[in-house]
Amino acid sequence: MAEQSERTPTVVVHDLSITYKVLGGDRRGTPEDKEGAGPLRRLLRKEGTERIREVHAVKGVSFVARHGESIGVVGHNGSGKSTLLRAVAGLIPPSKGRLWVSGEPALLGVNAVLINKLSGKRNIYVGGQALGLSKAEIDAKFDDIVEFSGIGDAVYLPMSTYSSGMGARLRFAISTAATPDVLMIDEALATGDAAFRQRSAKRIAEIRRAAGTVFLVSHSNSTVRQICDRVLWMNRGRLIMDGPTEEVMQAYEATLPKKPKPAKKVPVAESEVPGTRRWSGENRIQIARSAGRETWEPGVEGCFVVSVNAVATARMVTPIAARAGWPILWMNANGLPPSSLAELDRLAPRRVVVVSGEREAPSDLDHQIGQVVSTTGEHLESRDLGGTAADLLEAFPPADTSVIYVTRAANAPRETVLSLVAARQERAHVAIGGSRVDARLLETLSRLAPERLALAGHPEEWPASVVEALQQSTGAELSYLTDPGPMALAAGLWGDVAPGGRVIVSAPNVVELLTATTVSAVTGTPVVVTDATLPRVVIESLRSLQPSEIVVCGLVSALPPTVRAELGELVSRPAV
Amino acid sequence: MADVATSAEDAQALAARHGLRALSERPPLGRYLRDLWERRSFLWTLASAESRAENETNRLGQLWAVLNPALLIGSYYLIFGLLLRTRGGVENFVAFLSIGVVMFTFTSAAVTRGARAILGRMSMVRTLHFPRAILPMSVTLTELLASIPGFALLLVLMIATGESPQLKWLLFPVAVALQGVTLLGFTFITARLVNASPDLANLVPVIVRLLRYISGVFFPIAHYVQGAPVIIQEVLTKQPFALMLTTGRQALLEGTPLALTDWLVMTAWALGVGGLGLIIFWRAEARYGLG
Repeated sequence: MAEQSERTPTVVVHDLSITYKVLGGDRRGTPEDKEGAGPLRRLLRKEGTERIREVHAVKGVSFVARHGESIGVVGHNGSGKSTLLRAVAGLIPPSKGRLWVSGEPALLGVNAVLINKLSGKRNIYVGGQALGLSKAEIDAKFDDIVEFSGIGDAVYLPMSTYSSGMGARLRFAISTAATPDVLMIDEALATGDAAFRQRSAKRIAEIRRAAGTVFLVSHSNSTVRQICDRVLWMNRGRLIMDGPTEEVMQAYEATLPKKPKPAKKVPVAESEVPGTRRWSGENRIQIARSAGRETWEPGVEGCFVVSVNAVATARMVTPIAARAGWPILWMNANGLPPSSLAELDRLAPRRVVVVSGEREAPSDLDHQIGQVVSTTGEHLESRDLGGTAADLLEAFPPADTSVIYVTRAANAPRETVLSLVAARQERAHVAIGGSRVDARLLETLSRLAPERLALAGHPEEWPASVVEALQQSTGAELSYLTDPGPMALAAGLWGDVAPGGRVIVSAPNVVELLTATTVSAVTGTPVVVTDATLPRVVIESLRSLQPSEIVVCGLVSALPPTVRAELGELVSRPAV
Repeated sequence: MADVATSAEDAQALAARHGLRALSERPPLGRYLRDLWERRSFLWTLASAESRAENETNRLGQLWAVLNPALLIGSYYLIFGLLLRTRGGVENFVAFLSIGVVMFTFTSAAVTRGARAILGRMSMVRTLHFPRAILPMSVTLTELLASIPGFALLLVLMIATGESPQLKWLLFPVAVALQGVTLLGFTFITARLVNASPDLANLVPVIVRLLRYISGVFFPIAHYVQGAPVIIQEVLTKQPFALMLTTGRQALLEGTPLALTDWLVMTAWALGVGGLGLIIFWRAEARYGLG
């Protein structure tokens, strides 16, 4: 510390821990905990109702950041990078430990408060003053802000008339109007079209030069190398290395799975691990077929046909398929590939429901289906996402309408896991694209009269127009599902499952995870979601499930043999 | 090589040496008040923007700020003045009723919206640091601004009903200020309570309704509690929500002389509730925004 102490500190973090309390997840007691619980303790714990579970996102992190430093934060998904950043920005209070900052730390793109009823102009004043600028300073910067946001004369119209892109650009322009002492950039928050991205990259570079200290979370290692002179490496909530960029990056990169080279497709020879097996396949559709083959007997009542490219649609169909006990057969842009056709032939379903959603159904599809089964495919009417969502809700209303999960059309593990959650709770999952909500979908939603709409993500990820439309037409309470991460979310679903059975461990990829979800619904097998890092929350949930067998649902590139070997350790051997 | 402070004491000393601010911790009251003072222009921008937003969605815009109280006075006059005849010996009942209705509209709006001052601005609380007391203050100020056209209407009604302008009318803004500070105090308290337990927000409309009927909006409270035990008389006439209307009426009505005790008690309410409310609110400063 001595050699650096001539530079002024801007952030001091001491022993920072952040624990989320997650309502609704199931609490996992250790076995002795269960035995020792008297009636009173059980009563206090509200056995059988929704319980509070703790997720440790950041554990005992300490560091000092100084003026003039650019600090990269790296780590796998779910390692606590973003949580750490939000804590330093003061957006999440620490559960333990303390932190001190200089000035008004700003998380780029988020730190602008906007009031929808008001014009853009008034919002610039409210947002700017909220960031600590004086009125005179805003007067001076006003034209710059408007020009940078590119919204033109719309600045005099109420924000509620803006598209989500305009809103995001204005927010960004306001939040970069002030030059903070401590600036935090989370690349995941970047918004806008290509031209705006370019402009914003330039602006970020300017601010970076002017700001005292910059924190950057980026998934691009080359960006981190370019910008940062110091790197913090987070793993499972802990700060495991802190030092000069090159030193830390080399150590970090050594732990990354080697990127599969698409050029040579050598099937990886995988050694068997006792207690585990993998649904075989060279691609995701083949994996789905392997899973289907051991789950459904020929003569099922029906099946869905969904495109692997229409992921938002697939996410909506999955909870429905799970409840009906129907399999999903996957098609691609050309129609049904051989593995799905073979499965269709074997299953001989009485009904085939094609949900093409936001994609055109392949022209050849009906012909393909007609050749294999005696029925023709039933198509939903709508050819866009909003209409499809309404069609699906009308044709297959959920059993439990108290909560409906709502996600953005764009895909991420969190969105996919919500299909698993919805399937498990017999609720519906609706995906919404763009900044307008289909009128018929709003009507259908209001008819279902949900008590609550659970929106995936932080409020700032949602266009105000969508939020308002949902609120006005349904009158339901809106809540935002921000934490925990997708893997913790899935891990929390199986509290009431008796330990000792088969467990599916699925990669977070769409086709794999949605397939695992439908299998889980038919067989009652719990599904645990993990990426190649096997975070602790996954390991903990597997420990309490005490699986007698683990079925891996994922390509070798997603869940490599090393992961399978680790999973093998978690299979409980029969007692001797 | 890693740059860390090795112990909690080191970290604190290092932060103190360079004037860093502790995040997510409650500042001392003195500094809190100073922060509030420094943010006063933000408070003003927020409050004036919101009061404008309330009317911007209507075609008649700000005109509703006068129409609403006028219609309200009209309908209450119909019920209480003509049908139920609750005049209770008041000479200029229209003026009496108007003052009650307009001032109580401010009370009910401030109390109702103030309860959700934190809860309704959660995204703001979670994205920015500023003394959270700004939010209840902004709500109260917004409602005060929204009431100004109503107060102007009152002056017109006074003259229209035969009151003549007097020097004591200058006390009316004082009465409104005392009302505002008292309401702010209550808003501080309810905003904290509702933030801790959102279910409580459901009780607020009930409480406001109760206050509307026991605070002498439509009839002189003192007239109706004559003959009740003294303690009950005192409680019902000196409770702040009734007293703020009484002082307002004393300032404007010829037939209601100024009573020094009423003004002193009202001042005590304003200072007491306002100060206590601020302290109660400040004590939970670090907890606002926690899920």
